[in-house]
Amino acid sequence: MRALNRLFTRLLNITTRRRGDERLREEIESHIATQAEENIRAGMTPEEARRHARLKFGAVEAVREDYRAEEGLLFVENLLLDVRYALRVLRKSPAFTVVALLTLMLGIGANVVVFGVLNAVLLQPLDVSDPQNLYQIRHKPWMSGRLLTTSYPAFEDFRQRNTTFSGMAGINGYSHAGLSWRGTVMNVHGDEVTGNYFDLLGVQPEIGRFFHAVDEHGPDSAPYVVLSDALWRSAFQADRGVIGTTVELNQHPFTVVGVAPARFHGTERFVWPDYWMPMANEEQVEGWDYLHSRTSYITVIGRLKPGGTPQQATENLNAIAAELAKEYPQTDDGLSVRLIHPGLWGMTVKSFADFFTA
Amino acid sequence: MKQKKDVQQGTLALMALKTLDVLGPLHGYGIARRIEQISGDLLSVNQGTLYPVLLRLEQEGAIASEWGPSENNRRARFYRLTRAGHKLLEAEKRDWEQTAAIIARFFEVKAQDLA
Repeated sequence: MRALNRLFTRLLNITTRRRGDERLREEIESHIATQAEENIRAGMTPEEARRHARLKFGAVEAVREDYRAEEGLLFVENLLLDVRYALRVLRKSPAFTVVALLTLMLGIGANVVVFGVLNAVLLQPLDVSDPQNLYQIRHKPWMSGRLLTTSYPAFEDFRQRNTTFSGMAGINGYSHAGLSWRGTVMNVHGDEVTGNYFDLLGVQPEIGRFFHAVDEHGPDSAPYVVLSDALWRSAFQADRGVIGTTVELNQHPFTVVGVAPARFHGTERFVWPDYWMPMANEEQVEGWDYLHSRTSYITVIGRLKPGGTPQQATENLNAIAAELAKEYPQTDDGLSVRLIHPGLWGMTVKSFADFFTA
Repeated sequence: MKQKKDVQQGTLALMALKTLDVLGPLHGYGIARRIEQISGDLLSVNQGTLYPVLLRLEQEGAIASEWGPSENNRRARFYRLTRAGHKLLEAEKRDWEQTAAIIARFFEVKAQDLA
């Protein structure tokens, strides 16, 4: 408490530039004069008396310095002096100042960006339930050029033959459509997904419902669309009445069944889909579909069975890939795969380093 | 000839507090004289060093000061003990007595006592 009091007083002294110099000078004068008078009474000559009084008082300058040190915060004051000096020098050489400032700004800016990306990519888990055991299939040499591994028929094969996943879902993240609603048309992009997509991720709708695997009964059987929160707010004015109404995607009617929560934007870090629709109805929107081609690839995600390890699952998948390569030598190359957490999250630092040095 | 001892700052502060406690409000010169007298001139203060100590005590709130006329009709700064100063003095006094007692016991100890 005492120390705090003192600090406060000193800070006040600095900021108000209150100085006890005058007071100290007067006190010293008074002190020495009194001592001198006493010396005179003791029999000294006035001159001698003053000299002795001064000697006894000690070095006035040293006392004054101690006094000043007690008065303010010497460290802070010196720092302020240094800063002021630095500013003066900088003002004298503006070119240097500008270069130095630019260097610092660029340096700090670059670091902020890099950290921001790292933070988003590596450190934050996806906003889905239990992201720990959610995996995406990738090829082994990560930078071999193909991000996608699996055709839809091969995905079905993987889904049926594997023993390590409790569920697998397919995504085509490159869906574009003209969305028309009440006479206005806008270009939107989104994900075409297998019916089990939302259930696999464990996401709950903000309003309405999501579509499920049981809604699909073959091609064009599930004309349902889920809106992103952002699209719902911007294009539908957050109107709850939109649930159950019909919109058109590329002139085909789709029923709006629900709106996804604001924080959910699929399984990719840097993509914010406007909508999700069943892959079963892909042909209506795209004019063609992935469902029968073994050379068009989709994204495959899966959830491990409880207790299963990614190693076991990887071996399982690679065994199936080898089988498929034998069964479909024309189209399936049997390239070995590996598992990553979707959205780049959870990639090891090493693979991140690979990404930059590749 | 006995070497006159330097007075450590903390000791000086305590002496100043005790002086003000005994004699009431006093100016710097008075405090310095009093300390000299009581310490039997063994402690000849470099009298000026008292003033930074007084300032410090004042900033800590242990003493307060104001201008007033001295006995020889000079303007002088008079210092007096505050309530916080009284408390501080009591605490410091206990500390000192404790320390002194411990040191004294150490000096009394003889080799056979430790055996």
